[in-house]
Amino acid sequence: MPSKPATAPRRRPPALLAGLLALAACLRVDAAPPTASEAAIKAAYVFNVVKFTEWPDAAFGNDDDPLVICTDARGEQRSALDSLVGKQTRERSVAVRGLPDRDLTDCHVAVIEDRANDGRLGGRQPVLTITTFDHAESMVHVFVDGRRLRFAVRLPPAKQAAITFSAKLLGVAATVHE
Amino acid sequence: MRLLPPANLKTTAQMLGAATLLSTSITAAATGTLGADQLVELSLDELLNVEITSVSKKAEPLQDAPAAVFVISADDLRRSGVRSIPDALRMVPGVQVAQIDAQRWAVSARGFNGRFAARLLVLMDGRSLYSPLYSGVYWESQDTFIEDIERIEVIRGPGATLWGANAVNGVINIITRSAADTIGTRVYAGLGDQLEAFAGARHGFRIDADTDARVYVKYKEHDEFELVGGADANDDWDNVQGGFRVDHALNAHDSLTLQGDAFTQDLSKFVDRPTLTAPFTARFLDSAEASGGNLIGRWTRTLSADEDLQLQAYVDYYERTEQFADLEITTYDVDFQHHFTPSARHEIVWGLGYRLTDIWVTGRGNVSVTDSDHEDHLFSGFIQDAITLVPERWTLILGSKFEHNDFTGFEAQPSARVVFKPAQRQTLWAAISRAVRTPSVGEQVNVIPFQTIPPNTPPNFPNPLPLQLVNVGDQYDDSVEQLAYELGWRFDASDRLSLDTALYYAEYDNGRIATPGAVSFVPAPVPHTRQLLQLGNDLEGETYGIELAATWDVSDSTRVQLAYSHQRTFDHDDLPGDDLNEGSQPHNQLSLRTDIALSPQLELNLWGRYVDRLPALVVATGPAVSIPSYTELDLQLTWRPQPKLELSLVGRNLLNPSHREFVQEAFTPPSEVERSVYGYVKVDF
Repeated sequence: MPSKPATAPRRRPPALLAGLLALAACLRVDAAPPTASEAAIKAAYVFNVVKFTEWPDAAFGNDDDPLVICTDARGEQRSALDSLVGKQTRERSVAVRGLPDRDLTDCHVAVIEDRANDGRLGGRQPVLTITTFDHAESMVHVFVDGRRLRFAVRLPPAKQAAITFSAKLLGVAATVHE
Repeated sequence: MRLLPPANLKTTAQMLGAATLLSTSITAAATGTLGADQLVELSLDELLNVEITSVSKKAEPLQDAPAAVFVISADDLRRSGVRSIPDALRMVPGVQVAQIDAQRWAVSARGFNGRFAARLLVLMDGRSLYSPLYSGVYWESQDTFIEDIERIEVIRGPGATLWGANAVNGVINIITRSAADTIGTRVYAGLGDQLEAFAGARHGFRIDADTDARVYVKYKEHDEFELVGGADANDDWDNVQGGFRVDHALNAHDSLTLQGDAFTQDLSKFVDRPTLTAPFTARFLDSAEASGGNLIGRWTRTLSADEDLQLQAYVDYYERTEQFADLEITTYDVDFQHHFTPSARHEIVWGLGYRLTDIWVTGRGNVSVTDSDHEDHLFSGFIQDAITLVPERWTLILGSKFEHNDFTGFEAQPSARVVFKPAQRQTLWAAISRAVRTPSVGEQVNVIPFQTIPPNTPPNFPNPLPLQLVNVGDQYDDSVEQLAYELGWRFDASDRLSLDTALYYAEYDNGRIATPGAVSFVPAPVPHTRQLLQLGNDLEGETYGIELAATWDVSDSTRVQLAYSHQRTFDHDDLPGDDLNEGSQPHNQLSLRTDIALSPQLELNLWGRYVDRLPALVVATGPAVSIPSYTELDLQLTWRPQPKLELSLVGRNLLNPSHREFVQEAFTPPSEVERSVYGYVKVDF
């Protein structure tokens, strides 16, 4: 194999860098919209959807009962939902729990991420169901659309559970399935 | 549950939740990234406008990772006040960081430390940082815009299954933020006595609705240390570096990243070179220089939370000129990775990789190489299956990395891990893994006279002539093998206290050690005797230890973080220098960080460290050197008069005027790490 001749010490100027700075100077700069992690935005959606949802009176025992969000979310998403704990909405304070093994009687909201748990949907109890996958029995489906999150609302399962949504919520939904 | 390449691990910042809110809101003001509290204040209409910073893969909670993992978050970095990557690693249990001189560090995990420590796999944004010349890392040449590091993930122990050869004692993965997370301009500048001047600027901007970019440039000038005895060490140095990153979302599923860096460094320093005439050693001022650059392209397709693909290619160039050698290395690397969930019980990650390394090296002075030009090909593949045995309770993870390299041919590195979650906030894990460290070009081709023992001086006695010791590489060497057994326990005792411990025992074989040959007479240029030390694979032994990390959120304004490690290494052989590995590691190491938010504008960070003595460092210049234990304290006071302006005052190694941490194996006169002070200003536009 031919070997290169030994050469005097060289210093290579960072030509790449100079090129980049020149490139940067030519680029148009747009104002950036606010950003956040997907998990945090999802949690904020859950909180906002709750604001615009009406439960039948029977759903809550006492006036000071918490609003219980049950979820199978893990990791980052669970942490994001946990950050809602203690926040006040609809004159109640929010509690977050794992998805109970049996029925959802103790939950007011069920946030389900794992399609394997779709058997928990479709009950007649007054539980607002929010899923990250589309399902005929899910009331609110939150999904990624490009760089943003959107949501779709299905009224039939909500009606079956005696849950109603405000017109404001339906107005912003990407789709409303009647 | 699975052990993913580290990019997917959850950050400690996320785990620590509330304690990081203060810093989150500061970032938010700077970059337009919203924290959880701000998000819930938004109306539905406003929420619709918020963009996702990055469409993440299914993130593996750190709590569940079946390995000894420690994550240095961006907050940890900021609070530590450090201005270099190796200094940040001092907070990790089980990782030894010893500064050799103003320019250089010896870094390793679980023992085997040295300037040429070669059992760590170090990555930055998926690019391998260890030098293929000797499988160790030129730490002084590894830098980036520190404020744009999202996290540094450190996995102690054999992480070979997914990452490949050289991950024998650990993997360090440095991950920078996506360009979408660094919108805005940040400028910093500082002055100090050791870190004389440093400054940097980053500008992050949006090109269009789907494309973000940033560029940065930085400069650092470091003063010299003192040699043991007080003379100037002449190891002052500087670094100029710049880089860029562009992230582009093609659609909801596909994204592209293009990034790169370039740098140039002045690394002049003293070099001690053995000579054949009295006093048998000569000190030179070596005008060393290094420069390099890299370009990475990455395509990521996220089909769902259960399936994603990634294809990455990069080229990396490194050039170095110093007393012993001229060196040019170009690395071309392509990697593909696919993660999917074929059924509820199985979660599979597999991948393929190819790397071409083009090395040109030539010896200078009395150092020579037997072959200057090398082209090495590395083919690799891996597969790992995380099998859910009992949902939420028991998971078994089986996997292996396979590779073919030009030195030792085919290598398999299997591992088996089991995870048990007895309760919501507890994880127990156990692992058995085999890992190898493949030989490197440098070990094969070098011919290095590293010491001359004067006439009639033990062990050169009786002999009227000087004895020149020459290290000689080995063309037929084997991989260093390790079989490791690990046990770990993680426990969130409460929302405020979490513990993470790991125990390990490992047997290693085929370790690299030089075997002395016969003494021969050499008549020219001056009559002397010569002994060749042939590098071979004759070392075997065992190593064990315990590592503990604890985080305690004392209150909303105070957090205490502790890292402790105890470690021992025993070499089993009859060769001289058999305390090589035991002698180079501190048996006990402690790091205690306390972060106190004195007010919303004022923050105090204290960092105490204790490092046990290094019993016997084997050095070329004479008998083994013992380095005394030391206790040191760093302190940082940060004042944020307004959200976009930050002033910091940092004192490092405040307890002693100077202390020794290490002596390089050969050629470099020992110097002392000095007490230092610096201050800097950070402004966001």
